[in-house]
Amino acid sequence: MVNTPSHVATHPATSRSRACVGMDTHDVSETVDALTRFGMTYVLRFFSDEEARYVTRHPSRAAKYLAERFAAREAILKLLELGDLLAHRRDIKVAGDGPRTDIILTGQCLARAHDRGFSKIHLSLASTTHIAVAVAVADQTR
Amino acid sequence: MEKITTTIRSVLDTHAFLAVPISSLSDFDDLYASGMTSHVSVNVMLALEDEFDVEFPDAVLRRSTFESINAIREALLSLGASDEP
Repeated sequence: MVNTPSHVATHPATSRSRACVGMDTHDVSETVDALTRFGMTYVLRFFSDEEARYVTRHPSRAAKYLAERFAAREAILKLLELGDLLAHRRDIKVAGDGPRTDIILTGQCLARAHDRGFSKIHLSLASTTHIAVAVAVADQTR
Repeated sequence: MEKITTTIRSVLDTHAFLAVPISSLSDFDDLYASGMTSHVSVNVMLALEDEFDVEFPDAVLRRSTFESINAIREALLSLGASDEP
């Protein structure tokens, strides 16, 4: 997907907080291409150790799994209004799979989340054979 | 043209999926503005590592390192890649 500038939609969530949203889509075929060309080198250089272990255990699901998590990182960077995916790729960990997915932020991403008053970031992932989608929603309390 | 620049252009031609021919870009043109996505920049990084037998350390793994042919050249030279023909 073209790396568009960050956009964060906001709307009132409660009288004392609001929700901020970042989203992204990623073409699964781009992940298939990277896996074909570079194999586990691609996985180990970009994704977390936990994500690499999942790919090793579930190779048939690797492309969709990684495409979802690539989209997740882009969505969260948009939410945080940070634009450098390469620099911040290690600051975002997507832990778990399915409905139990959690976001773990470290480094500059964690600092930015604190600066923006995000108390919690929720993540929803989905994919078809062709497209992976990630929506990140943050509770902003100030 | 230096060998290193020729090789970078070849890698970009194969991996960057730019919206315009690589031959139409100067060494200083913005590759992201020419259609290179963030995901593709990862592929470009890995292909450059293979081609030049180097590894980009985390300290230089940032968007700006891959924003132009000249920026890539400077990064590769800093990692010890040769620019001899």
